[in-house]
Amino acid sequence: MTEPSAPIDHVLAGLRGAGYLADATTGTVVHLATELRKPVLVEGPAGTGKTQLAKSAALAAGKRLIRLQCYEGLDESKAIYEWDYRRQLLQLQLHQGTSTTNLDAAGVFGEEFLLSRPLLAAIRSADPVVLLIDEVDRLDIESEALLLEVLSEYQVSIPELGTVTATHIPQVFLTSNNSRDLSEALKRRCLFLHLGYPSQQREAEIVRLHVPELAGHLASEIAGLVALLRKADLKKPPSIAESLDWARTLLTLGATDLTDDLIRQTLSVLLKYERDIDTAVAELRI
Amino acid sequence: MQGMLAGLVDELRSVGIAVSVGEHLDAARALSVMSLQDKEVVGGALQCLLVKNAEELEAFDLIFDLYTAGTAQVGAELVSAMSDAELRDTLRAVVGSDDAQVRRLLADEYVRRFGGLEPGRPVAGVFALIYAEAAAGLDSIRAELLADLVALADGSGLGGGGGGGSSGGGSGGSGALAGRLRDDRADRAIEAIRADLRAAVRRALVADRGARAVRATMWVRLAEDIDIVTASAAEVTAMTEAIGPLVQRLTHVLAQLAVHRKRKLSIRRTLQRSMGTGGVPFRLATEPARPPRPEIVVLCDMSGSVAAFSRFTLDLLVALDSRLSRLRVFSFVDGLADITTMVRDARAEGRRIDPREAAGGAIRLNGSSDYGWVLREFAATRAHQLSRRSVVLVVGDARTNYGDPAESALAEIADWAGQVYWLNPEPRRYWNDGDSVIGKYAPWCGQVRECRTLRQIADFVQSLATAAS
Repeated sequence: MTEPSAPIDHVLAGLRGAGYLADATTGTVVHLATELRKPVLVEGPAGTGKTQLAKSAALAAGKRLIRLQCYEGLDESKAIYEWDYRRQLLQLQLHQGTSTTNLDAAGVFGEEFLLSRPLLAAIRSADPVVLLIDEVDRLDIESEALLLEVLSEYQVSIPELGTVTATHIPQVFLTSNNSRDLSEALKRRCLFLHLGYPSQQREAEIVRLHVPELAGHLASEIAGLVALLRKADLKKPPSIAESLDWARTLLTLGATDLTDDLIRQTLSVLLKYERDIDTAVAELRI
Repeated sequence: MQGMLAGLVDELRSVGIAVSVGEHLDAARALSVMSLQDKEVVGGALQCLLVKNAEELEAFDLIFDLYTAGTAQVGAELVSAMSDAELRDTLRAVVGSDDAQVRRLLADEYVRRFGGLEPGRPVAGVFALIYAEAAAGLDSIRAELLADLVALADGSGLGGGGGGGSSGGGSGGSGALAGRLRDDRADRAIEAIRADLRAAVRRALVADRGARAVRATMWVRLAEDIDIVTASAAEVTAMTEAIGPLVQRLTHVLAQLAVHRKRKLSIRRTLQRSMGTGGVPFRLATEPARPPRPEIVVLCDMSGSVAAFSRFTLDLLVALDSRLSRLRVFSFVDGLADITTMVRDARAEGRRIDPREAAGGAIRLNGSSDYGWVLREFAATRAHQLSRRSVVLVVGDARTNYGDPAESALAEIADWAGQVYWLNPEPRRYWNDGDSVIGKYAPWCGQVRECRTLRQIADFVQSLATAAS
């Protein structure tokens, strides 16, 4: 490779060191994200390593990972910050004796009464962190707006306190299973990375990296078989996570060869629906 | 480079990929901070900044490839100095490998040597592709590749054979499977070379005519804009995948409509609220919004000409089932059949509706559509079940095969129902031509729409919800 694309190779090597085999596009996107200080929106089918990418990026850079798991009904008090009402009440009671009528004098809106939730924690953190916002597509469209200020300005506005700006810009990853279209406002602020299923060679390498005790030829056979299954008409095609599970199963069983019987017995590790297993047996003619 | 970017963004917008000014600026910024040596890297960078939907990635790749077709490749002279035999040997060596750069160089060279493209001659790219593929001898390469894989497997099989007596039986059992895996691998390698050759032909054409002209002849389309009736198998898959997000979006739109509608004043709750102000109603309270839930009766033409379109309409409506108070589906050709349960079961099991299955009960005589009989039958047996709240949706091309159109029957149906809409998957210019009698039906319909793409169906469903509220 030529000299200037070295930073990307550096990113790839770092991810590899953290146990993540990324392709060139992923490396480019992660590199650009740090360069342009923009969040990365990772989209793709379940089990293709979206969450793992963020974890590995954190591990590779030696940063702490702060994770926000999204779900329907997630609100400000769970995602950004909340006032610690109980301590505020206690503080007010302490001040009851001192005949002051001024609430500000009681000082109940200070930093010490603020409970940081993941987004604010990532902004306030003294050391650089990686922020993972998992499964954004599970948020209601309305609550997506909660994220916008953090994602574009790396700051949080708290009406009673003012604006908290990040000391270190956190590296942000958002993941989505594409169960619904995300809003344009959110997408506009992010770099978009689509993680599909890997090529057969890369999948074999991934299996070898994670299950090194497995015989080498089995790894490529697993990758080939999984690639074949993904082309079949399945409700849930096997993902990388499932091929790894399968590889581990084969290792535990001490298999040296992929026989028809063995595949039939262990297919339930790879496929999670009865109908899919039937389809696969027919497809592989075993 | 910035000029290239502007052209690229223009072209992306013209195929319907929305690129905002901010994204354009970001892309320009990215280009200024990174190396422009490697085309793959630049492509990856621009893609993550300009395209934010997985469905649009393919279109982007194609357009990006066109716009960077002119860039010189390292090693091109080396390849062009090779003899034909050497060229073939090199190709054989890289087939099945991950070395995209060499494959690309070779593909370019094959097209240059054997494609027969001459500057300025208006020749179709398909011919260049056929010539180049023939020269590459892909079939023989595939055979050699398979032989190699077999030899490789035998070698490792012998090595494993020393391990234990059971391995002989084992390899015999998995022989068929191993063969399939090898076949699949060879197929994929050859398919990759084909794709490289296709791309090389496109690049050669771009060098001759310019990116814009080539793009215009190539039909880069997004899944939502594909003409359903003429879609290819790959496009049908793309559209099937696009339905999920589309349904999510429509569900959201439908829910929003309920919130923003004018609501009725709730006397009881207003009075309750006025307690705090001594019985003076300062703050009014309204009844909770009732979501618009139209009752929909679909009449789907399942005859060959429009079956594909009917299927997509059904898929979308059934997916929206929970948003409708009632959905009844009838299929017809020259007979009429109630297929509501069949459609629902298919959906519950997660499989597609098979048009032949759906048409099964709807064929009475010869299987060519008879709108007149069908409408009369529906008016006589089913129309009394309709109410003011029901919306009748006829999906079909209104081609009666020169039979009696029986528009009076449709008038009767329209009289019972709240609204009748007609979705016609034929281009408007073919309407009322030949045996099409859509003009005779139009007066009884609230709307007659030309509906050829997923986007148009979605627009229609949206307008339906607005009308019902």
